[in-house]
Amino acid sequence: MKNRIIAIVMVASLFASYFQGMFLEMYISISLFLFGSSVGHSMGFVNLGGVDQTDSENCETCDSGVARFILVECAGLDLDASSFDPLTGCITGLAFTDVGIAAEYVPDKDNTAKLDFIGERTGSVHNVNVDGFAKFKCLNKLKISEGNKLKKTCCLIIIAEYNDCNIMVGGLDIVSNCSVSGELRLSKQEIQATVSIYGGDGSDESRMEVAFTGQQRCFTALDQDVTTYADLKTALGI
Amino acid sequence: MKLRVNPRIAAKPTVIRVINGKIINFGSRGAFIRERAETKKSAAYEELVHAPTEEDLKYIKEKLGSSNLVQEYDEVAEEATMKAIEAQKEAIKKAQAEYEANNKVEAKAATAGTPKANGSGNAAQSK
Repeated sequence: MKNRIIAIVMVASLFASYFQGMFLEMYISISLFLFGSSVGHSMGFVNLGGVDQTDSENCETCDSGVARFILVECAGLDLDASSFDPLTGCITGLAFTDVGIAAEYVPDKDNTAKLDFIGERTGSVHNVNVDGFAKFKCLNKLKISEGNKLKKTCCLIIIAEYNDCNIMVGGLDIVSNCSVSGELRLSKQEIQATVSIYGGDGSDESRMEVAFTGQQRCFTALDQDVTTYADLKTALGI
Repeated sequence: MKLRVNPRIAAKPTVIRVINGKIINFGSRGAFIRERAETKKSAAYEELVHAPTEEDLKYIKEKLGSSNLVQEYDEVAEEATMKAIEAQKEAIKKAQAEYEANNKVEAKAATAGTPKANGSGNAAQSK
């Protein structure tokens, strides 16, 4: 009799735990359906700050166009030793392993030089397409030689100073979900230079044109409160 | 807790950053004088590349956000760990030396003793 009671209790508890498991499973699947994968995690917010265009600070520097830029070969950049601010998405400092890995370019000042970071959304994937252009009028041996060097490079970091003195860094990504505090990495698709030499037809200027293309995941500005364009030039020995 | 350059980065000879206008080499080469070649815009000159000070490391850690360049470490705990590793290395070296010495003795005995032990046949055949 005693054994029978024990057996009944055991069977009953087995059934109970089975149904409890089923209930839990149902609860989890319904929760996932309703609330997505955030179940079990704290709610994540990007901490939007807002932009107020009536504030004079927001419209004091709008001069577009690239004034000058530095091209750095990716291999010469030490990503580990470089730093960034995960909150602002700004690069706070770049570290380089050598000199002779970079050069500065000052393109024609005729409103043709640009470096745009164009967003492209496919579903939940937001890419940033880098689209740059620089023109150097009047062909000479030096420009042809530089064009030949540029076309050989396979991965570039471009540090561009705009006419409004903002500085953007192309070719780098701050990837937030790769480690605890995020990581500075080379961009998704490296920036490459496509060089064209135009001899012209007599009615236009002979010129070298360089187009920059690449794709990254985020917008990466240089935090000029802590690192300036001049600092980077000094570090690079240019 | 003390600050130091991440050993992985410090192992590279030159890792240069400019902090507050000061050129600093965080690599193993330490401070050095960098020669700048003459250009169209400037004459050749030399510039000092500094080794990082405690203050520089502190500045990077506290002001420049996320970076693997500088890391905190516990000097006492690290010293104890290093001592333990050194002791372990010594023990391994000793054991290895003993093992090699034994091997040598055995090999010597084998080459010297084989013909005698075999008696006559093999030694004569090998000739």
